[in-house]
Amino acid sequence: MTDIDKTLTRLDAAAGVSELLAAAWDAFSVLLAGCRDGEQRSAELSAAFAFAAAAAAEGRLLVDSAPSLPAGHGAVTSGVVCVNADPDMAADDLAGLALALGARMSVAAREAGDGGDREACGQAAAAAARIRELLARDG
Amino acid sequence: MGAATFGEVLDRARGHLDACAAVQDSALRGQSVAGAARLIGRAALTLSRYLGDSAPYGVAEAITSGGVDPQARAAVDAREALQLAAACLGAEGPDSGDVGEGAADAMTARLAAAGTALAAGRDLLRTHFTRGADGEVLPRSDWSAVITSAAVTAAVLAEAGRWAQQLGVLTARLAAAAAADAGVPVAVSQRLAEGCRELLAAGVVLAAGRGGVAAGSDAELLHAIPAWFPPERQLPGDAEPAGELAEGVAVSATRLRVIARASARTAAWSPAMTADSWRWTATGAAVICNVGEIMLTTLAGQPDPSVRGTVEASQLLGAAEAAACACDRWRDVGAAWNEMTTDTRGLFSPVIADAGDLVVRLGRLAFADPGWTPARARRAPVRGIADLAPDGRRAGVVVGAIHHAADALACMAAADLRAVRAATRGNRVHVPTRTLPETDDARYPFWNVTLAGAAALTEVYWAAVGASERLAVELDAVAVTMNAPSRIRAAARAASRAEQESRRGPRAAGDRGAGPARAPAAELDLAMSAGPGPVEQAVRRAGGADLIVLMRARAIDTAARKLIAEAKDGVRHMDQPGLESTASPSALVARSGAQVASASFPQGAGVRHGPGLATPEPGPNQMLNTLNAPSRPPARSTPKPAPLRRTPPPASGSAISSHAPRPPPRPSATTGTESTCDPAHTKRIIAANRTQK
Repeated sequence: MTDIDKTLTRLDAAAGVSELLAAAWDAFSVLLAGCRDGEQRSAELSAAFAFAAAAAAEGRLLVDSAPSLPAGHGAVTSGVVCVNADPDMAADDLAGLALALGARMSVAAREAGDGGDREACGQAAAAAARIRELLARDG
Repeated sequence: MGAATFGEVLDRARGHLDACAAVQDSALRGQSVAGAARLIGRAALTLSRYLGDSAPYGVAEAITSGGVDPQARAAVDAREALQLAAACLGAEGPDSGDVGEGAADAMTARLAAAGTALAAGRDLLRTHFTRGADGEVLPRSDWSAVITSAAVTAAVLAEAGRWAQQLGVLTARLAAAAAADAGVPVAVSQRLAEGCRELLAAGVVLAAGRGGVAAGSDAELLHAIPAWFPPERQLPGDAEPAGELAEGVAVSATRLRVIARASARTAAWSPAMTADSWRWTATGAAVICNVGEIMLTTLAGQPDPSVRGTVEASQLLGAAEAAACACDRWRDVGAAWNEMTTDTRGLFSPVIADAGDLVVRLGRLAFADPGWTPARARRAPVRGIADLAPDGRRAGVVVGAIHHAADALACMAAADLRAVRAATRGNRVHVPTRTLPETDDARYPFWNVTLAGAAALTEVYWAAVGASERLAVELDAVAVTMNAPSRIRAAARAASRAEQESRRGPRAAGDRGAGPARAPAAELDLAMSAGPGPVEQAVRRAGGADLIVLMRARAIDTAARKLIAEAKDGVRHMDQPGLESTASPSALVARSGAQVASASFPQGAGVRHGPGLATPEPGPNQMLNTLNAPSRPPARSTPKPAPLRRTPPPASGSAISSHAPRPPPRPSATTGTESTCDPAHTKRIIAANRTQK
């Protein structure tokens, strides 16, 4: 099971805004690490991975600003993320994760009780959508 | 469509002036002569202001200071002569206001248009300077140092000399027409003759001051100077061919250089300057470098050396390696922003659009899809050499595009460094609290960046500045060697570098007129002239030569050709009795411009020579007497450069709990980007710049 699979499972299982924000923060971290890794693997996909990495960093900082993110979350991060070595397959996996992340964050943006959470989730959903747009085969 | 260049404006002026020469003498009479004379006087006044900008010395200072070089002294002498000519021709008379407006005769209308274009050219050059808070003149663009460089100064003087000559000949025709017209008072004819004499003297003085140095490359650089105002944005179109893509890259690069520099000044307060924007532009810069590396490597693999022209594969690979290095440094910058943010968010920086255009157009050059975008859905294979550069011309176009982009990145890196430091000092850069080791109060999600964090951010920007500059320098050499369309940027950067080095050099303020080094001219000769000579060919064969060595080799070849030509001329002159003493250009330089001028024209009273040319009624050595006249204003004292304004360092311990934009502080009313238009403006620029030495 790759880090992407684990993160997808956590996103699916997240109950409540705090848990979802924590899972989203980790998902953006996986996207960031995966994109930076992919940036160096393929000349043809390098630009897509590079801009997707920038969007992932932006999304993670947006989640950071959500009031309901559990305190201290992200203080310890694992530096290594296991993604597919094939850049095309990695891009597919990362685009899938971004799609799932965007969907969950969009829902949270509508349903979260705190205004700060709603705003953060809405902007994070947009960042996830940009990542998917950059990495998906069909755009 | 790029910004208007000085050359375009000057060409327009020259076209009008050339048209004046076609006007028949029979059309010159009465009011027409008077009006034309006043307009020539105005043009002379404008020329004198050009010279004042180039050599901001008073007459007494130019005469008494040993540090003023012959070229600057010639400019001062010529400036005085032109002002005298303007006075003789009634340029500033009480009824001179509406001359030329709706003029009925061709010459007056043409002269009015020429004078307007000439003044517009000077205004164009001055758009590259602005005023600081204390009224001091400040550079405003990367062309500012080029304009005050030795190369461009020489070109301005050469251009002014040619104009003075041409206006002098026109005035001579007017004087002849006036003398032949019984209705024109004798005093008017005499004043025309005096004006003619001063104009021709100015032309001779300037030619002598340049020492006969050929300034073709200097002139090309002068003519290429654009107005400061960025050209209109050109959105990438569908399926643009390589030539259009390269032109679009040049436009975006020009805009980026101007906009990055201007927006950096607002970083301390502008809500548009965000961490998201800086992260995005760093990413875009890395992509540009990566795409550049791909294309340079492809070009280096060209199996047919004739397509590459004189550039060696190793030179291209060296540039590709520099591009890879710059790509890594920009990725480091992007990574540094991964854990930082600002008090405002979003991609609102004014540079985003043009950086994006650069990415898209360079990508379309490199990848085999005319509609390429960074998105994976538009992925395409890298173009092979046959597709990328099937011939030498296309190779030059591709190199030119990469060169323009690299040049813009070097400028953007320096601007971003300044901007980020300003934003940090303005307490605008923050980090997530989770990234800090221990905080007393973790209620806030973000905290001001620590001093160490700010230093680390600055450090990665410094590295990006260095790597981008190195890439630009590598591509300067490649562009020059391949005679790529972007070679003018190499020349501009060389002139600018030399000017900045001369300011930092050991020469003291009292030595300010010692004359900038001629290195830029040598570099420009290399940049502009075609066909390597024997020395350059030998240096190239030896391999490993850098740009400066190549430029020196080219300069040596040029000097050798000039020496041979002079030797041939000398032989011809020796065959003609009485010409020995003036045959050598160096002999002319050794004498003062005024001496040359006073000896170059007859001293008798208004004698006519031929049908159209009259010599003025002279006073003996009138110019020298005028130069020493006590009524002249004293030399201007050089203003002190204003101290840098510093923002207090970030207050430690202040936290933010939201990212609502702060109301931007009102910028100082006196600090701005207003254009400066008073005649002493550029004098002060150069004086201030030289005082900094």
